[in-house]
Amino acid sequence: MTRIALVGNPNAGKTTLFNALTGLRHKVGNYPGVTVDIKSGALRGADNTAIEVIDLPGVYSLTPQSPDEDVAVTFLFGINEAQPDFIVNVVDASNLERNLFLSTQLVELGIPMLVVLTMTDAAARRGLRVDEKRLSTELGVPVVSTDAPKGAGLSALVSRLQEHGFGINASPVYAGYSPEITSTVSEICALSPDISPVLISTQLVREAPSKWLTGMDAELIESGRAKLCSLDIDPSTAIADDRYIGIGRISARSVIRTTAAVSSISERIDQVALHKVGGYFVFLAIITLVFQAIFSWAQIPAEWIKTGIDSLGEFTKASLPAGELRDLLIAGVIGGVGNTVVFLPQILTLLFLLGLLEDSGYLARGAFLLDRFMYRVGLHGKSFIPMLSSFACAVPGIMATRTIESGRERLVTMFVIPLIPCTARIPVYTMLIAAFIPSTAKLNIGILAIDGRALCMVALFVMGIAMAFTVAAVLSRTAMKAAPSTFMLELPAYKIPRISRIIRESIDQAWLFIQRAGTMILAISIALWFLSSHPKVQGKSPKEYERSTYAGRVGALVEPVLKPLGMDWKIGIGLLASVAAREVFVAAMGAIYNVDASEDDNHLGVAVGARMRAQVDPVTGKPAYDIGTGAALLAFFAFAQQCMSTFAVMRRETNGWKWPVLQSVTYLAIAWVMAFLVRTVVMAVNT
Amino acid sequence: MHNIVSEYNKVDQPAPHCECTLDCLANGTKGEVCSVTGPNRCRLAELGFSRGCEVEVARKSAFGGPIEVRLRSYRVSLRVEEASGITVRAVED
Repeated sequence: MTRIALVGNPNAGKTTLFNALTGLRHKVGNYPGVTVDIKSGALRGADNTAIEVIDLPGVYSLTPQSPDEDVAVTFLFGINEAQPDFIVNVVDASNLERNLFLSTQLVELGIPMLVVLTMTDAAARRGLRVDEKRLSTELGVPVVSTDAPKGAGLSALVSRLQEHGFGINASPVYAGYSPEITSTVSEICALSPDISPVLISTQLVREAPSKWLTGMDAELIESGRAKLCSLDIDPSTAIADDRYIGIGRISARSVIRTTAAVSSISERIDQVALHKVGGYFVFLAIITLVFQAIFSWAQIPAEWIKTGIDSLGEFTKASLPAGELRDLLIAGVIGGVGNTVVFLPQILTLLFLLGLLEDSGYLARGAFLLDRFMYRVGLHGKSFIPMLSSFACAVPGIMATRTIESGRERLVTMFVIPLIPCTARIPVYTMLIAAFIPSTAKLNIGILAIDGRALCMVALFVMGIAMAFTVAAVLSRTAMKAAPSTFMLELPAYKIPRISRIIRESIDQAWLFIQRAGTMILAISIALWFLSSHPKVQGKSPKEYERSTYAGRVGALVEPVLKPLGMDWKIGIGLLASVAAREVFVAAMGAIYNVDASEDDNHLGVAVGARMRAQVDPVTGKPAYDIGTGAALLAFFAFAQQCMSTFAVMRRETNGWKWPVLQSVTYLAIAWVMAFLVRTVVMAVNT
Repeated sequence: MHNIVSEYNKVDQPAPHCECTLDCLANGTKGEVCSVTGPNRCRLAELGFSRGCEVEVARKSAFGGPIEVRLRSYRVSLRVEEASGITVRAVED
């Protein structure tokens, strides 16, 4: 198998070329760093399937500064596996000099290479034309132009790759370093023959060598760096300075300047979108529109789905004899799964709108506008994008943090993401608010009478977001204190979003959400239904019977912790079940109370809520739960990390148990304390 | 060489090595990079902020937010903290 690695700067058009070369449907981002894992596919062309194309994460140089870049760089140096057989270096012709920084390093790797120029049309608009022949002579490797989205030159490129039309520059000329640097590099080379000059020069610039370098090599590089520093040379900038002198020469010889650059459409849009004052109004308007769409427009199709599920429940009720099976089917299967499906329109709307904003290039502008605020709480302007996706679901949000170069800012962002109110909380909020907040509750401010239930929902959202920023601020001032990272944001040119692609991706993601929620809810409802009705014991009062079931026994264990929050063992069981996923709570409570849809309202959430309110304390004979219980539960759900998928993705992304465990414990503690405080305040106000 | 120096003294101009930092440049003005310091200097140098490179402040944002800089025919946004580590020599248009 021949392996061709696609290498290039972020946003150089690498993923687009990859899709064109392999014919696979893959995500192409208009935001630097969307490609994260190594993707690969067979090169297009019927007769030759032995060529594998590997799409590496975008890098600016062979000196990695983020986990993403580390993946690409270790691959190119062949640290964990064999080096690729060929390199296709994707170079953005409209940003030639910076792209050549990487190209000149790649040439030094000594792997057969081919440069593919992209964005030649954008370069032409800026009055720049790259002379391919001249550039090829300068670099010592072949150079071709292609415009992958339009397919121009693509078939020629494919046949070139099949015929292995690459080249090696036997003596790369770009390492025109100053004598001190040159002698340091050759000294290290002589002492450790297994590391190449390009590996040395790209590691010398780091404050500390990359972790994947072996002990002796790392020591050699460190002493080489110390030696240069003692000569009053800062390798971190001097090596790049020298390389750019060579690049300036290459660029001067191979770039032909045509007509003077005119201000582009993007620049004109940015005069409004990034305006010092107006920009923030545009941003607020867009975000308001997004939330308006989720919470108002998406409700219309949600109502249709609800009606459909209700009639399915009605049908099941009519066609099956009363009994445990019917209860399970209605409460667990139809109610539980249906309760998640109801949120499909909201999730789809959010995913679609986010895709639209990302693809158009606006999200990077949001990061630009918000950076100062994010920076104050120890986050990064780019944190705003994963946080926005987390309103749909924390799992894609945590994965989207990979675009943040700084490990610390990325970790803080990942840590606070579970506090962002995700769609899985909405069914729980809706059920509890309907159960505990009277529909007549109003907050009167002057002539305005604000609906109490709506206000409560808004308050829960604000609480979650505020807590996320508070935790971020506290963390970055205490446990995760460090120097801020490079901000380094590139604003891509605006473009018309590719609607069909966004729709396809939204549906894919939403389907994953439904599958996950559906299977988990189903499994847990069935398990709970069994646990709360077994073992069957004769000769006990219903109250004693409940307590002696498996669920009752487990619930009794957690009850002491929940008593101060006004909760009993039944809620305890619901909370335990919702550790798997928050949205399970409604179905779990349904299973515990053996709710079958009541006569007047078949919707499970309402039925469960009604049953919760109707619970009577066996000792006092008063209602078991008061408004304080409801408020405490709501607060608990706002802060607790109850999501197995989030836990799993945190473990994967941080590569260990420490952070997911710490996160879950911290948020459990915060949730308990906040629930207690909220209950205390609500009870004090209410009496 | 002697003549040039005396010329500067005569017209009472700021000396050519008079340096300020990138964040001090006004919107739309240009400078030439003299040195890059700070913890992120390695990446900044790789991005093209190398000695002698011409840079132009393309956009300064509100509340001391990022600064968009034009260099080497592309644009990149930096934080004030990073821009203040880049010393420049102001260049007349």
